[in-house]
Amino acid sequence: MTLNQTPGNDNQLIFVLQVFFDDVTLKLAYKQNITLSSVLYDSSVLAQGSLNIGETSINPSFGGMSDISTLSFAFTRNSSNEYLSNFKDDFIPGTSGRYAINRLVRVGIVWEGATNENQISWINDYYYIQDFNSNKDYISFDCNELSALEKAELPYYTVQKNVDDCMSYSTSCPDNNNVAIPLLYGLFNTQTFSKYYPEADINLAPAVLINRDTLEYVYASHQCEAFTGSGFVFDDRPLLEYREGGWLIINPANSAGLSEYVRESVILQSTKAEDETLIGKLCYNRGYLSGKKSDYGAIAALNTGAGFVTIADTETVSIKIDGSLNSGVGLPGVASTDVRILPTFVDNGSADEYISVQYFDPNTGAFSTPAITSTQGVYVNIGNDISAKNPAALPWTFDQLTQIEILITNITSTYETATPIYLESVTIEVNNIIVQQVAPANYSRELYNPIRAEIRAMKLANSKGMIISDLRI
Amino acid sequence: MSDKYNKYDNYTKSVAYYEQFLDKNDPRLTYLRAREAGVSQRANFSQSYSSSQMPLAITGGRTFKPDVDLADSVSWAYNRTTQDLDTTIQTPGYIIESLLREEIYTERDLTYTGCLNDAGYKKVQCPDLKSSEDDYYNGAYFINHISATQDFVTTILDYDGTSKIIYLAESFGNPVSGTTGGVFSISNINPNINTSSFDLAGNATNGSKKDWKMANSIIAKTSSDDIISAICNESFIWLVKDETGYRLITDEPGDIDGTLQYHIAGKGKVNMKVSYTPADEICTDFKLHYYYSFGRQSYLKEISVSPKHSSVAGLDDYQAICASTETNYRISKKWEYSADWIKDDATALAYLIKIIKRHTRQLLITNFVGDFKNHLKYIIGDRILIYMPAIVPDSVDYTKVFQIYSKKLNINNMVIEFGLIEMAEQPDNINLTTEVPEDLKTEDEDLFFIE
Repeated sequence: MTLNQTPGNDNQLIFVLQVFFDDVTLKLAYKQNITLSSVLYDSSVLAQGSLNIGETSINPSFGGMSDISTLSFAFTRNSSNEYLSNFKDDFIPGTSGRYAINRLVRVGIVWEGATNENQISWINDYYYIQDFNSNKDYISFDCNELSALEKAELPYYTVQKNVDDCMSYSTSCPDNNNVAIPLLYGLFNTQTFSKYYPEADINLAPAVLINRDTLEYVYASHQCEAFTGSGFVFDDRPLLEYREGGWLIINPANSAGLSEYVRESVILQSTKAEDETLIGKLCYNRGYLSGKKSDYGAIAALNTGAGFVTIADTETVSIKIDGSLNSGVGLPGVASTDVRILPTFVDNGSADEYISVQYFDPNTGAFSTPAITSTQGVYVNIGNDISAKNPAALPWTFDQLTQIEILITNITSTYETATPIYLESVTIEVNNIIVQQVAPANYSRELYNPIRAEIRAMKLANSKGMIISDLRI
Repeated sequence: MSDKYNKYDNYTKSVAYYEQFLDKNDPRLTYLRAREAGVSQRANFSQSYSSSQMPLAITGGRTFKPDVDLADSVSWAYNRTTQDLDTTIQTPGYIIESLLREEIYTERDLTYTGCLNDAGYKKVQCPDLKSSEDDYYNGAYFINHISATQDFVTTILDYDGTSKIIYLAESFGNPVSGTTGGVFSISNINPNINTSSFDLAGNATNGSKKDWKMANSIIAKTSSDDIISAICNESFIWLVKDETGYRLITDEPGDIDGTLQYHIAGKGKVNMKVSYTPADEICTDFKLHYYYSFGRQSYLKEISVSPKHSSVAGLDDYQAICASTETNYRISKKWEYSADWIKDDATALAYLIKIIKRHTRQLLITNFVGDFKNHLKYIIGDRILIYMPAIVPDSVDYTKVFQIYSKKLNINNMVIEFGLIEMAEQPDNINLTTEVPEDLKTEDEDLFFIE
């Protein structure tokens, strides 16, 4: 604490108060008058022995907030102060009396000899009158530090409950009923937000996003992000629509002239399917992707029931297949064909089409070198690709494969006449699994029982998504 | 859904780093040690969750990123924190500062009734503003919700409380002069924050808590002081409000703020006692649960140490301490806690170590009564020495560093009463002189007596 006035050797210490009533600020001194900046700090008002400042403390055993400090004082009946001449009727409930509750009180000190208010050292200026009472001699005031923190509540949301309580929204989240939606708030833009996803230890599914600038709240039944226009505008259209039969419809913005700040993506998580086997995600992602600097053309339609995604010539679609597996059984093999990506297409009537396939390496922040292939059922073998993994010598893991992000670009015009292609599905095959861990004695068999470990077949309702096939144990 | 490879930085660091967090029997350590030794080894660290067990991802903290339209001058985070603004602020102090500035000292849903460009200012009138005090909003952030394309945030230059008119720079694009009816917010309204104390804890370069990470979901209507208390509790920081504003205190060893020596006696007696923290706070077996998953409704991780084991290498040194505590105090007692805001392994380890240091031995507690003139300057959280050779043991006198945990201004007796506790983590070097300074030799003569 820095004192505003240097004390002399023997100077008397004087406590001063400023009480901020609506009609006047009372300036009072305790026990001894003092004039500061030509204003008398009146000592006739405060009752002798009435001024008391409570202890301030913290609990040293563990972190926390300090106790709220208290202040008390009393006005005497026989005050000569011009603003307190009516004593018992000076304050409400007296007729035309002042309101005292929640009025500010500042307390400070000066040393005898001070002449200016700026020589006051304020001890605390956040006391508010919380209570007062009177008798024939005194009006006593009790003050607390007003804690603004108590009054501020932070927003929260949960997924849909059985009844609409106006605080929950996600109607198709059967596995997560009554589970809290993580809340992420702050200042977002495309660049900021895109950095979240690679930070896989903080995954945003499901999430409520709050844009601090626009005060728009965007919620996702599972996980979504949507940006249109430029800057910080969240798309206010429904991102997801549910249809009978478990269809999930994505409504991407169909804006032209994508600019640096345009980005939209939707990640869907199918929590349950008709055959009870679906646990996975399909992510549609358009716009700036990690490591990419070029604009992506608009894609007219996606997954509206046609069963395929139209990719015009030179357009790119990003498919993120996000799921989870019980991977305790082992790891995929490292031979070239042990892990394969197979995009399948609906025949477009054209003789030849060509695509490039890349997958995202979260470790380097870049996509792999494009693999050029025709669309006619050609696998992209990645089992022996060691560049995308770190440490490089390791095999793929199921966690990596179930979250892999794939870019498919229509490059037909590079070789033939330009033509649109119709992406039907993307399959990742794991053709060889190395069973490598038999449960040691000190491990729970729940975790390390290779016989019980299961690889779930994964696909989306309309056959888009991932299928783990040819499982060999 | 998290990728455990990313979680551990893809195992790009040294084995010693991961040994701090991973279970000693974790097969990943076997692999990493072999890799560091240059031995070819097939990876076999496939810990698993079944799909039904996958933790629901959670998040927390806050994000700050001055965008292209956000002037640097209005971003406290940008100006002071020296950290990458593309990332979530996870250090506990800055999360609290952010809550104060952006959530608590904020007025929202404000509608302006007039806007006029005049004399170099953009004057925005809004009767909804709560304060009628001149200059009340000076320096606060005007956040524009009127246009989504430009000029989002600027600093309020002046405020006319009588007319409730905000003065912005005329060059600020929105609201447009001559229009009415747009919505805006104001944040950072006189938060009165002692920024240097927050920076001492959170500065990304040298802050004492810079490596601590906090994150959680807000799942119910909760007052902000409950949230702040929880963050403080799990990061060993204290938020106090005094004449300097909101101030952050840490338990980290730091510079000594002064020496207490002029003890005032009452009624002819030096009423200074040296005692210990209660013996029933001594524990010998510690377990911390953390990384709470809302999906699984359980804590996914734990670390522990006792006289007979330590779960991670970072606690190995404390196994012996637990054993000696059990011997010295003849106590065998368990401490167990579930941390809601800790998700990070390193933070969990740091937190538990602090707990162990506090609960494996008794800390000295004492009091001190001083005069206003010499002691008013000391505040809660200050690190101080005591020079009272006739009163306190030699091993304490002018040797142990204490921290002030309570302060009371006794106006009737005109003295200040301090509560002091020995810091669990003593500074390595408190720069004591080999000879006692001259001004510290006269404490007996300086005892005051109050009848």
